[in-house]
Amino acid sequence: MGMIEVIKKGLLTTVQDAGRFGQAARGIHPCGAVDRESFFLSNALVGNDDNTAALELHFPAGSFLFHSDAVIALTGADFQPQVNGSPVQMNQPLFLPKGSLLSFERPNRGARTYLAVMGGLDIPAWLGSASTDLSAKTGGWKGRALQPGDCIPLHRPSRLQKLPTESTSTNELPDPTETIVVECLAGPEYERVGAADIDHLLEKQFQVGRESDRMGLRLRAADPLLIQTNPMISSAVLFGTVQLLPNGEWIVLLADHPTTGGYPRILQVPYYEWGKLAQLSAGTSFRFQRMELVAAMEKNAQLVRENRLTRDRVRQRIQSYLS
Amino acid sequence: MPRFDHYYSFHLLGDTALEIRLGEGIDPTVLERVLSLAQHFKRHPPEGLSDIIPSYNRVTLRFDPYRVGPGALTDLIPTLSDSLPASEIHSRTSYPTIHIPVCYDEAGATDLSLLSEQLHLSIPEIIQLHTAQPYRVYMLGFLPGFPYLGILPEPLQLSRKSKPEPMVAGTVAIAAAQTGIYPADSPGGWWRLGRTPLPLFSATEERVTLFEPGDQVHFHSIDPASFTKIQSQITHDSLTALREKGGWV
Repeated sequence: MGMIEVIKKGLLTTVQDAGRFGQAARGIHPCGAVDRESFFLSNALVGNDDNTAALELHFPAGSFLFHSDAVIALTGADFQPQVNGSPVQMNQPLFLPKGSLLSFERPNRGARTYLAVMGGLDIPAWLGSASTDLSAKTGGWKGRALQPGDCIPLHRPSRLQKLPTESTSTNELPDPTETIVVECLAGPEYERVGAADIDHLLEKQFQVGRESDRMGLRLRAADPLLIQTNPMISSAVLFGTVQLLPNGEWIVLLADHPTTGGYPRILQVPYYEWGKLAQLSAGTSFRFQRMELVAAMEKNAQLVRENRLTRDRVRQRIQSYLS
Repeated sequence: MPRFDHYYSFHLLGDTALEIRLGEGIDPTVLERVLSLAQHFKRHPPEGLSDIIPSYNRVTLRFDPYRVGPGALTDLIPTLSDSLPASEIHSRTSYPTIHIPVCYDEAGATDLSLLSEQLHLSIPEIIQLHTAQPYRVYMLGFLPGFPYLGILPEPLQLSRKSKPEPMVAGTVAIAAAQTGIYPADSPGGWWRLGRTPLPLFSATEERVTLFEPGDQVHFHSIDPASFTKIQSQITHDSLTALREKGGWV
Protein backbone atom coordinates (compact mmCIF):
# COMPACT_ATOMS: atom_id res chain seq x y z
CA MET A 1 0.00 0.00 0.00
CA GLY A 2 1.23 3.50 -0.87
CA MET A 3 1.68 6.26 1.62
CA ILE A 4 2.43 9.99 1.90
CA GLU A 5 4.33 11.16 4.98
CA VAL A 6 4.07 14.72 6.28
CA ILE A 7 7.64 15.97 6.84
CA LYS A 8 7.11 19.66 7.50
CA LYS A 9 3.90 20.98 9.02
CA GLY A 10 1.74 23.26 6.86
CA LEU A 11 -0.43 26.14 8.11
CA LEU A 12 -3.58 24.05 7.69
CA THR A 13 -3.52 20.81 5.74
CA THR A 14 -6.70 18.74 5.88
CA VAL A 15 -8.30 15.82 4.08
CA GLN A 16 -11.38 17.03 2.18
CA ASP A 17 -13.91 15.91 -0.39
CA ALA A 18 -16.99 17.72 -1.72
CA GLY A 19 -18.48 17.93 1.80
CA ARG A 20 -20.93 16.30 4.17
CA PHE A 21 -24.55 16.71 3.18
CA GLY A 22 -27.87 15.51 4.55
CA GLN A 23 -26.73 16.14 8.15
CA ALA A 24 -27.59 19.82 8.61
CA ALA A 25 -30.64 19.12 10.80
CA ARG A 26 -28.21 17.76 13.43
CA GLY A 27 -26.10 20.90 13.25
CA ILE A 28 -23.28 19.14 11.38
CA HIS A 29 -21.27 21.62 9.32
CA PRO A 30 -20.95 20.85 5.59
CA CYS A 31 -17.11 21.15 5.50
CA GLY A 32 -15.49 19.92 2.27
CA ALA A 33 -13.03 21.59 -0.11
CA VAL A 34 -13.43 25.37 0.04
CA ASP A 35 -12.66 25.62 -3.70
CA ARG A 36 -14.85 22.77 -4.89
CA GLU A 37 -14.23 23.21 -8.60
CA SER A 38 -10.43 23.11 -8.16
CA PHE A 39 -10.80 20.06 -5.92
CA PHE A 40 -12.92 18.29 -8.57
CA LEU A 41 -10.35 19.15 -11.26
CA SER A 42 -7.43 17.79 -9.20
CA ASN A 43 -9.18 14.42 -9.15
CA ALA A 44 -10.13 14.47 -12.83
CA LEU A 45 -6.50 15.19 -13.79
CA VAL A 46 -5.38 11.93 -12.15
CA GLY A 47 -8.34 9.94 -13.50
CA ASN A 48 -10.30 9.77 -10.22
CA ASP A 49 -14.01 10.36 -9.76
CA ASP A 50 -14.64 14.04 -8.94
CA ASN A 51 -15.52 13.38 -5.31
CA THR A 52 -12.42 11.46 -4.15
CA ALA A 53 -10.64 12.41 -0.90
CA ALA A 54 -7.69 14.78 -1.48
CA LEU A 55 -5.58 17.20 0.56
CA GLU A 56 -6.30 20.91 0.92
CA LEU A 57 -3.21 23.02 1.65
CA HIS A 58 -2.71 26.62 2.82
CA PHE A 59 0.61 28.48 2.67
CA PRO A 60 3.09 27.68 4.25
CA ALA A 61 2.05 24.32 2.88
CA GLY A 62 4.72 22.10 4.47
CA SER A 63 6.38 19.21 2.68
CA PHE A 64 5.44 15.62 1.85
CA LEU A 65 7.51 12.50 1.30
CA PHE A 66 6.11 9.86 -1.06
CA HIS A 67 6.79 6.35 0.25
CA SER A 68 5.62 4.81 -3.03
CA ASP A 69 5.32 5.77 -6.68
CA ALA A 70 2.36 8.09 -7.20
CA VAL A 71 0.62 10.11 -9.88
CA ILE A 72 -0.57 13.40 -8.41
CA ALA A 73 -2.11 16.69 -9.55
CA LEU A 74 -2.00 20.11 -7.90
CA THR A 75 -4.80 22.62 -8.60
CA GLY A 76 -6.10 25.84 -7.08
CA ALA A 77 -3.65 28.31 -5.53
CA ASP A 78 -0.17 28.52 -7.04
CA PHE A 79 2.34 28.07 -4.19
CA GLN A 80 5.17 27.31 -6.64
CA PRO A 81 5.37 23.56 -6.06
CA GLN A 82 8.69 21.71 -6.26
CA VAL A 83 9.65 18.05 -6.38
CA ASN A 84 13.10 17.36 -4.91
CA GLY A 85 13.83 21.09 -5.26
CA SER A 86 12.87 21.44 -8.93
CA PRO A 87 9.77 23.40 -9.97
CA VAL A 88 6.81 21.35 -11.25
CA GLN A 89 3.64 22.38 -13.10
CA MET A 90 0.26 23.04 -11.55
CA ASN A 91 -2.92 21.68 -13.20
CA GLN A 92 -1.47 18.59 -14.84
CA PRO A 93 -0.74 15.02 -13.78
CA LEU A 94 2.77 14.46 -12.38
CA PHE A 95 4.58 11.19 -11.80
CA LEU A 96 6.43 11.12 -8.47
CA PRO A 97 8.75 8.13 -8.01
CA LYS A 98 9.08 6.59 -4.56
CA GLY A 99 11.21 8.82 -2.30
CA SER A 100 10.11 12.12 -3.91
CA LEU A 101 9.80 15.18 -1.66
CA LEU A 102 7.03 17.63 -2.55
CA SER A 103 7.42 21.17 -1.19
CA PHE A 104 6.14 24.66 -1.92
CA GLU A 105 8.31 27.72 -2.52
CA ARG A 106 6.10 30.79 -2.04
CA PRO A 107 2.47 31.86 -2.36
CA ASN A 108 2.25 33.26 -5.84
CA ARG A 109 -1.51 33.58 -6.18
CA GLY A 110 -4.61 32.20 -4.45
CA ALA A 111 -5.22 30.81 -0.95
CA ARG A 112 -5.75 27.04 -1.27
CA THR A 113 -4.06 24.26 -3.20
CA TYR A 114 -5.52 20.79 -3.81
CA LEU A 115 -3.34 17.71 -3.94
CA ALA A 116 -5.06 14.68 -5.49
CA VAL A 117 -3.43 11.27 -5.86
CA MET A 118 -4.37 8.68 -8.49
CA GLY A 119 -6.56 6.10 -6.75
CA GLY A 120 -7.32 8.53 -3.90
CA LEU A 121 -6.38 8.78 -0.24
CA ASP A 122 -7.55 5.80 1.81
CA ILE A 123 -9.67 7.66 4.36
CA PRO A 124 -12.82 6.15 5.90
CA ALA A 125 -16.02 8.16 5.49
CA TRP A 126 -17.85 9.65 8.48
CA LEU A 127 -21.55 10.32 7.77
CA GLY A 128 -20.94 9.80 4.08
CA SER A 129 -17.90 12.04 3.65
CA ALA A 130 -14.11 11.92 4.10
CA SER A 131 -13.98 15.65 4.87
CA THR A 132 -12.29 16.76 8.08
CA ASP A 133 -14.71 18.47 10.47
CA LEU A 134 -12.42 20.64 12.60
CA SER A 135 -15.23 21.86 14.88
CA ALA A 136 -16.49 18.33 15.63
CA LYS A 137 -12.88 17.04 15.71
CA THR A 138 -13.82 14.12 13.51
CA GLY A 139 -13.82 12.98 9.87
CA GLY A 140 -10.84 13.09 7.53
CA TRP A 141 -7.51 12.24 9.17
CA LYS A 142 -8.21 11.84 12.91
CA GLY A 143 -10.49 14.88 12.80
CA ARG A 144 -7.58 17.28 12.68
CA ALA A 145 -5.03 19.06 10.50
CA LEU A 146 -2.05 16.96 9.40
CA GLN A 147 1.11 17.02 11.51
CA PRO A 148 4.71 15.96 10.84
CA GLY A 149 4.99 12.18 11.05
CA ASP A 150 1.43 11.52 9.85
CA CYS A 151 1.44 8.83 7.17
CA ILE A 152 -1.63 9.09 4.93
CA PRO A 153 -2.39 5.77 3.21
CA LEU A 154 -3.16 5.66 -0.51
CA HIS A 155 -5.62 3.22 -2.01
CA ARG A 156 -2.89 1.95 -4.33
CA PRO A 157 0.49 3.00 -5.64
CA SER A 158 0.43 4.19 -9.26
CA ARG A 159 3.31 3.41 -11.60
CA LEU A 160 2.25 5.25 -14.70
CA GLN A 161 5.28 7.24 -15.92
CA LYS A 162 4.22 8.51 -19.32
CA LEU A 163 1.62 11.22 -18.76
CA PRO A 164 -0.25 13.91 -20.67
CA THR A 165 1.73 17.17 -20.49
CA GLU A 166 -1.06 19.67 -21.21
CA SER A 167 -1.97 21.99 -18.32
CA THR A 168 -5.70 22.51 -17.73
CA SER A 169 -7.25 25.00 -15.31
CA THR A 170 -10.92 25.75 -14.75
CA ASN A 171 -10.69 28.93 -12.72
CA GLU A 172 -8.73 32.14 -12.80
CA LEU A 173 -6.94 32.99 -9.56
CA PRO A 174 -7.68 36.49 -8.20
CA ASP A 175 -4.82 38.97 -8.71
CA PRO A 176 -3.95 40.26 -5.20
CA THR A 177 -2.68 43.58 -6.63
CA GLU A 178 -6.08 44.45 -8.10
CA THR A 179 -9.50 45.13 -6.60
CA ILE A 180 -11.51 41.98 -7.21
CA VAL A 181 -15.24 42.18 -7.95
CA VAL A 182 -17.39 39.53 -6.28
CA GLU A 183 -20.87 39.28 -7.79
CA CYS A 184 -23.71 38.72 -5.34
CA LEU A 185 -27.44 38.37 -4.96
CA ALA A 186 -29.71 40.00 -2.40
CA GLY A 187 -29.88 37.94 0.80
CA PRO A 188 -33.12 37.27 2.74
CA GLU A 189 -32.56 40.28 5.04
CA TYR A 190 -31.43 42.63 2.26
CA GLU A 191 -34.59 44.70 2.70
CA ARG A 192 -33.69 45.45 6.32
CA VAL A 193 -30.87 47.67 5.14
CA GLY A 194 -31.90 51.04 3.72
CA ALA A 195 -31.19 51.93 0.08
CA ALA A 196 -28.50 54.48 1.05
CA ASP A 197 -26.66 51.91 3.19
CA ILE A 198 -26.86 49.32 0.40
CA ASP A 199 -25.27 51.87 -1.95
CA HIS A 200 -22.47 52.38 0.58
CA LEU A 201 -22.02 48.64 0.97
CA LEU A 202 -21.71 48.11 -2.78
CA GLU A 203 -19.26 51.00 -3.19
CA LYS A 204 -17.11 49.94 -0.28
CA GLN A 205 -13.71 48.40 -0.80
CA PHE A 206 -13.13 45.53 1.63
CA GLN A 207 -9.94 43.68 2.48
CA VAL A 208 -9.82 40.02 3.41
CA GLY A 209 -8.83 39.97 7.11
CA ARG A 210 -5.94 37.87 8.42
CA GLU A 211 -8.26 35.99 10.85
CA SER A 212 -10.19 34.53 7.90
CA ASP A 213 -10.31 30.74 7.91
CA ARG A 214 -12.23 27.81 6.44
CA MET A 215 -15.31 28.98 8.36
CA GLY A 216 -15.43 32.37 6.69
CA LEU A 217 -13.80 35.50 5.35
CA ARG A 218 -13.64 38.33 7.86
CA LEU A 219 -13.85 41.60 6.01
CA ARG A 220 -11.95 44.76 6.86
CA ALA A 221 -12.68 48.26 5.62
CA ALA A 222 -10.83 51.56 6.09
CA ASP A 223 -13.95 53.08 7.68
CA PRO A 224 -16.35 50.48 9.05
CA LEU A 225 -19.88 50.56 7.71
CA LEU A 226 -22.14 50.51 10.76
CA ILE A 227 -25.72 49.64 9.95
CA GLN A 228 -28.30 49.18 12.68
CA THR A 229 -30.47 46.08 12.27
CA ASN A 230 -32.88 44.46 14.71
CA PRO A 231 -31.80 41.26 16.49
CA MET A 232 -33.19 38.15 14.83
CA ILE A 233 -33.52 34.50 15.74
CA SER A 234 -31.36 31.87 14.07
CA SER A 235 -32.08 30.51 10.61
CA ALA A 236 -30.18 28.65 7.90
CA VAL A 237 -27.01 30.03 6.35
CA LEU A 238 -25.06 28.81 3.31
CA PHE A 239 -21.64 28.95 1.73
CA GLY A 240 -21.36 32.51 0.42
CA THR A 241 -23.87 34.04 2.87
CA VAL A 242 -22.74 37.59 3.75
CA GLN A 243 -23.66 38.39 7.34
CA LEU A 244 -23.62 41.67 9.20
CA LEU A 245 -22.49 41.38 12.83
CA PRO A 246 -23.82 43.76 15.50
CA ASN A 247 -20.38 45.42 15.86
CA GLY A 248 -20.48 46.40 12.18
CA GLU A 249 -18.19 43.59 11.07
CA TRP A 250 -18.99 41.71 7.84
CA ILE A 251 -18.30 38.02 7.27
CA VAL A 252 -18.68 35.81 4.20
CA LEU A 253 -19.27 32.17 5.13
CA LEU A 254 -17.14 29.41 3.59
CA ALA A 255 -17.14 25.58 3.73
CA ASP A 256 -16.88 25.07 7.53
CA HIS A 257 -19.81 27.40 8.23
CA PRO A 258 -22.34 26.48 10.92
CA THR A 259 -25.71 25.36 9.54
CA THR A 260 -27.56 28.24 11.20
CA GLY A 261 -26.79 31.79 12.25
CA GLY A 262 -28.52 34.65 14.01
CA TYR A 263 -27.15 37.60 12.06
CA PRO A 264 -28.87 39.32 9.13
CA ARG A 265 -28.05 37.66 5.81
CA ILE A 266 -27.66 40.75 3.68
CA LEU A 267 -26.09 39.28 0.53
CA GLN A 268 -25.63 35.83 -0.96
CA VAL A 269 -22.69 35.03 -3.24
CA PRO A 270 -23.89 32.69 -6.02
CA TYR A 271 -22.25 29.35 -6.76
CA TYR A 272 -20.20 30.47 -9.77
CA GLU A 273 -18.34 32.96 -7.51
CA TRP A 274 -17.56 30.47 -4.69
CA GLY A 275 -14.23 29.47 -6.22
CA LYS A 276 -13.18 33.13 -6.34
CA LEU A 277 -14.12 33.61 -2.65
CA ALA A 278 -12.14 30.46 -1.80
CA GLN A 279 -8.99 31.82 -3.41
CA LEU A 280 -9.03 35.36 -1.93
CA SER A 281 -5.88 35.52 0.17
CA ALA A 282 -5.53 37.73 3.26
CA GLY A 283 -5.08 41.40 2.37
CA THR A 284 -6.72 41.11 -1.07
CA SER A 285 -9.08 44.01 -1.86
CA PHE A 286 -12.51 43.41 -3.28
CA ARG A 287 -15.98 44.85 -3.59
CA PHE A 288 -19.41 43.38 -4.09
CA GLN A 289 -21.51 43.89 -7.20
CA ARG A 290 -25.25 43.21 -7.35
CA MET A 291 -26.47 40.57 -9.79
CA GLU A 292 -29.95 39.44 -10.69
CA LEU A 293 -30.98 35.87 -9.94
CA VAL A 294 -31.78 34.86 -13.53
CA ALA A 295 -28.35 35.99 -14.78
CA ALA A 296 -26.65 34.26 -11.83
CA MET A 297 -28.46 30.98 -12.50
CA GLU A 298 -27.37 31.14 -16.13
CA LYS A 299 -23.76 31.74 -15.11
CA ASN A 300 -23.98 28.78 -12.71
CA ALA A 301 -25.31 26.54 -15.45
CA GLN A 302 -22.54 27.63 -17.81
CA LEU A 303 -19.80 27.07 -15.22
CA VAL A 304 -21.12 23.65 -14.25
CA ARG A 305 -21.47 22.59 -17.90
CA GLU A 306 -18.03 23.81 -19.00
CA ASN A 307 -16.15 22.50 -15.97
CA ARG A 308 -17.83 19.12 -16.22
CA LEU A 309 -16.84 18.87 -19.90
CA THR A 310 -13.26 19.90 -19.10
CA ARG A 311 -13.00 17.30 -16.36
CA ASP A 312 -14.46 14.55 -18.53
CA ARG A 313 -11.92 15.43 -21.22
CA VAL A 314 -8.84 15.35 -18.92
CA ARG A 315 -10.10 12.21 -17.18
CA GLN A 316 -10.54 10.41 -20.50
CA ARG A 317 -7.10 11.56 -21.58
CA ILE A 318 -5.28 10.12 -18.58
CA GLN A 319 -7.39 6.98 -18.71
CA SER A 320 -6.26 6.48 -22.30
CA TYR A 321 -2.66 6.41 -20.99
CA LEU A 322 -3.67 3.76 -18.47
CA SER A 323 -5.14 1.34 -21.01
CA MET B 1 -54.90 15.02 -0.44
CA PRO B 2 -55.88 17.84 1.92
CA ARG B 3 -53.85 21.01 1.44
CA PHE B 4 -51.36 22.37 3.99
CA ASP B 5 -53.78 24.64 5.79
CA HIS B 6 -51.48 27.09 7.54
CA TYR B 7 -49.82 30.33 6.60
CA TYR B 8 -46.58 29.85 4.70
CA SER B 9 -44.48 31.71 2.16
CA PHE B 10 -41.63 30.69 -0.11
CA HIS B 11 -38.43 32.73 -0.34
CA LEU B 12 -35.27 32.17 -2.34
CA LEU B 13 -32.05 32.08 -0.36
CA GLY B 14 -29.67 33.01 -3.14
CA ASP B 15 -29.33 30.64 -6.07
CA THR B 16 -29.12 27.27 -4.28
CA ALA B 17 -31.70 27.28 -1.47
CA LEU B 18 -35.38 27.86 -0.72
CA GLU B 19 -36.87 28.98 2.59
CA ILE B 20 -40.42 28.17 3.58
CA ARG B 21 -41.50 30.52 6.35
CA LEU B 22 -44.19 29.14 8.60
CA GLY B 23 -44.66 31.82 11.22
CA GLU B 24 -42.93 34.39 13.36
CA GLY B 25 -40.72 34.26 16.44
CA ILE B 26 -40.41 31.27 18.76
CA ASP B 27 -43.79 29.57 18.92
CA PRO B 28 -44.64 25.93 19.80
CA THR B 29 -47.44 25.75 17.23
CA VAL B 30 -45.05 26.93 14.51
CA LEU B 31 -42.55 24.29 15.71
CA GLU B 32 -45.12 21.56 14.94
CA ARG B 33 -45.45 22.87 11.38
CA VAL B 34 -41.66 23.05 10.98
CA LEU B 35 -41.27 19.45 12.19
CA SER B 36 -44.06 18.10 10.00
CA LEU B 37 -42.76 19.91 6.92
CA ALA B 38 -39.15 18.80 7.50
CA GLN B 39 -40.47 15.22 7.80
CA HIS B 40 -42.48 15.65 4.60
CA PHE B 41 -39.41 16.73 2.60
CA LYS B 42 -37.35 13.92 4.09
CA ARG B 43 -39.91 11.43 2.76
CA HIS B 44 -40.46 13.23 -0.53
CA PRO B 45 -37.19 14.98 -1.41
CA PRO B 46 -37.48 17.31 -4.40
CA GLU B 47 -35.00 16.74 -7.25
CA GLY B 48 -31.49 17.94 -6.39
CA LEU B 49 -32.13 18.38 -2.64
CA SER B 50 -28.92 18.12 -0.59
CA ASP B 51 -30.08 19.18 2.88
CA ILE B 52 -33.11 20.09 4.97
CA ILE B 53 -32.43 22.72 7.63
CA PRO B 54 -35.30 23.17 10.09
CA SER B 55 -35.05 26.28 12.24
CA TYR B 56 -37.39 28.19 14.61
CA ASN B 57 -40.08 29.22 12.18
CA ARG B 58 -38.93 28.02 8.77
CA VAL B 59 -37.63 25.07 6.82
CA THR B 60 -34.74 25.71 4.44
CA LEU B 61 -34.08 23.39 1.51
CA ARG B 62 -30.50 23.41 0.27
CA PHE B 63 -29.89 22.12 -3.27
CA ASP B 64 -26.85 20.72 -5.04
CA PRO B 65 -25.65 23.52 -7.36
CA TYR B 66 -24.92 20.84 -9.98
CA ARG B 67 -28.54 19.76 -9.99
CA VAL B 68 -30.46 23.04 -10.15
CA GLY B 69 -30.59 24.52 -13.62
CA PRO B 70 -31.68 28.11 -14.40
CA GLY B 71 -35.22 28.69 -13.19
CA ALA B 72 -35.40 25.33 -11.39
CA LEU B 73 -35.95 26.81 -7.92
CA THR B 74 -38.59 29.32 -9.00
CA ASP B 75 -40.33 26.61 -11.04
CA LEU B 76 -40.28 24.36 -7.99
CA ILE B 77 -42.26 26.74 -5.78
CA PRO B 78 -45.77 26.04 -7.20
CA THR B 79 -45.05 22.29 -7.36
CA LEU B 80 -43.84 22.17 -3.76
CA SER B 81 -46.69 24.35 -2.65
CA ASP B 82 -49.23 21.90 -4.16
CA SER B 83 -47.48 18.95 -2.54
CA LEU B 84 -47.46 20.28 1.03
CA PRO B 85 -49.30 17.89 3.33
CA ALA B 86 -52.15 18.84 5.59
CA SER B 87 -50.43 19.56 8.90
CA GLU B 88 -52.46 16.88 10.71
CA ILE B 89 -50.95 14.08 8.65
CA HIS B 90 -47.48 14.06 10.09
CA SER B 91 -47.78 15.97 13.34
CA ARG B 92 -47.05 13.81 16.35
CA THR B 93 -48.80 14.12 19.64
CA SER B 94 -45.90 13.13 21.89
CA TYR B 95 -42.17 13.68 21.83
CA PRO B 96 -39.56 12.05 24.10
CA THR B 97 -38.71 13.85 27.33
CA ILE B 98 -35.02 14.07 28.23
CA HIS B 99 -33.94 14.99 31.75
CA ILE B 100 -30.73 16.99 32.01
CA PRO B 101 -28.83 17.33 35.29
CA VAL B 102 -27.16 20.73 35.67
CA CYS B 103 -24.66 21.86 38.26
CA TYR B 104 -25.58 25.53 38.78
CA ASP B 105 -22.39 26.20 40.65
CA GLU B 106 -21.70 29.84 41.43
CA ALA B 107 -18.14 28.90 42.38
CA GLY B 108 -17.54 27.55 38.86
CA ALA B 109 -17.09 29.69 35.78
CA THR B 110 -20.68 30.87 35.48
CA ASP B 111 -22.38 34.21 34.97
CA LEU B 112 -24.85 33.60 37.82
CA SER B 113 -23.67 36.58 39.89
CA LEU B 114 -23.72 38.91 36.87
CA LEU B 115 -27.16 37.63 35.86
CA SER B 116 -28.42 38.08 39.39
CA GLU B 117 -27.52 41.79 39.20
CA GLN B 118 -28.81 42.29 35.67
CA LEU B 119 -32.10 40.44 36.16
CA HIS B 120 -32.73 41.63 39.76
CA LEU B 121 -33.22 38.04 40.86
CA SER B 122 -31.40 36.00 43.48
CA ILE B 123 -29.30 33.05 42.29
CA PRO B 124 -31.74 30.50 43.81
CA GLU B 125 -34.59 32.30 42.01
CA ILE B 126 -32.73 32.05 38.69
CA ILE B 127 -32.14 28.31 39.21
CA GLN B 128 -35.74 27.80 40.31
CA LEU B 129 -37.07 29.60 37.20
CA HIS B 130 -34.74 27.71 34.84
CA THR B 131 -35.69 24.26 36.22
CA ALA B 132 -39.41 24.89 36.82
CA GLN B 133 -40.73 24.24 33.31
CA PRO B 134 -40.14 21.90 30.37
CA TYR B 135 -38.56 23.19 27.16
CA ARG B 136 -38.76 22.07 23.54
CA VAL B 137 -35.81 21.54 21.21
CA TYR B 138 -36.71 23.97 18.42
CA MET B 139 -33.66 23.23 16.30
CA LEU B 140 -30.06 22.03 16.28
CA GLY B 141 -27.44 24.36 14.86
CA PHE B 142 -24.35 26.50 15.48
CA LEU B 143 -22.28 23.48 16.61
CA PRO B 144 -22.92 19.77 15.93
CA GLY B 145 -25.61 18.76 18.42
CA PHE B 146 -26.21 22.24 19.93
CA PRO B 147 -29.91 22.36 20.94
CA TYR B 148 -31.82 25.65 20.77
CA LEU B 149 -34.38 25.35 23.56
CA GLY B 150 -37.36 27.55 24.31
CA ILE B 151 -39.20 29.31 25.59
CA LEU B 152 -37.21 30.77 28.48
CA PRO B 153 -39.37 32.33 31.24
CA GLU B 154 -39.68 36.08 30.70
CA PRO B 155 -37.90 37.13 33.95
CA LEU B 156 -34.76 35.31 32.71
CA GLN B 157 -34.67 36.90 29.27
CA LEU B 158 -31.61 39.04 28.57
CA SER B 159 -30.03 39.77 25.18
CA ARG B 160 -26.77 37.98 24.46
CA LYS B 161 -23.40 39.37 25.51
CA SER B 162 -21.72 41.81 23.16
CA LYS B 163 -18.55 39.74 23.03
CA PRO B 164 -18.19 35.94 22.83
CA GLU B 165 -16.21 34.18 25.59
CA PRO B 166 -14.72 30.67 25.79
CA MET B 167 -17.29 28.05 26.85
CA VAL B 168 -16.53 24.53 28.04
CA ALA B 169 -18.40 21.46 26.78
CA GLY B 170 -21.64 20.92 28.68
CA THR B 171 -22.16 24.61 29.52
CA VAL B 172 -25.86 25.42 29.94
CA ALA B 173 -26.51 29.00 28.91
CA ILE B 174 -29.29 31.46 28.12
CA ALA B 175 -29.84 34.33 25.67
CA ALA B 176 -33.06 36.24 24.94
CA ALA B 177 -35.95 33.70 24.91
CA GLN B 178 -33.60 30.74 24.44
CA THR B 179 -31.56 28.33 26.49
CA GLY B 180 -28.98 25.95 25.07
CA ILE B 181 -26.15 23.56 25.86
CA TYR B 182 -22.67 23.76 24.32
CA PRO B 183 -21.74 20.22 23.11
CA ALA B 184 -18.03 21.08 22.81
CA ASP B 185 -15.55 23.75 23.93
CA SER B 186 -16.30 26.82 21.84
CA PRO B 187 -16.55 30.59 21.97
CA GLY B 188 -20.09 31.67 22.78
CA GLY B 189 -22.04 34.83 23.56
CA TRP B 190 -24.71 33.38 25.83
CA TRP B 191 -24.92 33.78 29.64
CA ARG B 192 -23.57 30.75 31.55
CA LEU B 193 -25.82 29.23 34.21
CA GLY B 194 -24.02 25.94 34.86
CA ARG B 195 -22.83 22.71 33.36
CA THR B 196 -24.21 19.27 32.58
CA PRO B 197 -22.03 16.13 32.74
CA LEU B 198 -24.04 14.50 29.92
CA PRO B 199 -22.46 14.18 26.44
CA LEU B 200 -24.45 15.82 23.62
CA PHE B 201 -22.40 14.65 20.66
CA SER B 202 -20.52 11.49 19.74
CA ALA B 203 -18.80 11.01 16.42
CA THR B 204 -18.40 7.27 17.02
CA GLU B 205 -22.09 6.59 17.49
CA GLU B 206 -24.61 6.34 14.70
CA ARG B 207 -26.98 8.59 16.61
CA VAL B 208 -24.31 11.35 16.69
CA THR B 209 -26.42 13.81 18.70
CA LEU B 210 -28.33 13.37 21.97
CA PHE B 211 -31.18 15.67 20.91
CA GLU B 212 -33.54 15.86 17.99
CA PRO B 213 -35.78 18.77 17.06
CA GLY B 214 -39.10 18.39 18.88
CA ASP B 215 -37.70 16.75 22.04
CA GLN B 216 -38.93 17.92 25.45
CA VAL B 217 -36.22 18.82 27.93
CA HIS B 218 -36.29 19.17 31.72
CA PHE B 219 -33.37 20.65 33.69
CA HIS B 220 -32.62 19.41 37.23
CA SER B 221 -30.25 21.07 39.69
CA ILE B 222 -27.44 18.85 41.02
CA ASP B 223 -24.55 19.56 43.40
CA PRO B 224 -20.84 19.46 42.39
CA ALA B 225 -20.40 15.99 43.98
CA SER B 226 -23.22 14.54 41.84
CA PHE B 227 -21.74 16.21 38.77
CA THR B 228 -18.42 14.42 39.32
CA LYS B 229 -20.19 11.15 40.06
CA ILE B 230 -22.38 11.25 36.91
CA GLN B 231 -19.42 12.33 34.80
CA SER B 232 -17.41 9.29 35.91
CA GLN B 233 -20.34 6.95 35.16
CA ILE B 234 -21.07 8.27 31.67
CA THR B 235 -19.18 6.74 28.81
CA HIS B 236 -19.02 8.74 25.65
CA ASP B 237 -20.83 6.11 23.65
CA SER B 238 -24.12 6.17 25.46
CA LEU B 239 -26.30 8.65 23.53
CA THR B 240 -28.78 5.97 22.40
CA ALA B 241 -29.00 4.51 25.91
CA LEU B 242 -29.36 7.98 27.41
CA ARG B 243 -32.25 8.80 25.09
CA GLU B 244 -33.94 5.49 25.78
CA LYS B 245 -33.96 6.06 29.52
CA GLY B 246 -34.99 9.71 29.11
CA GLY B 247 -31.70 11.33 30.03
CA TRP B 248 -30.42 11.16 33.61
CA VAL B 249 -33.19 10.42 36.08
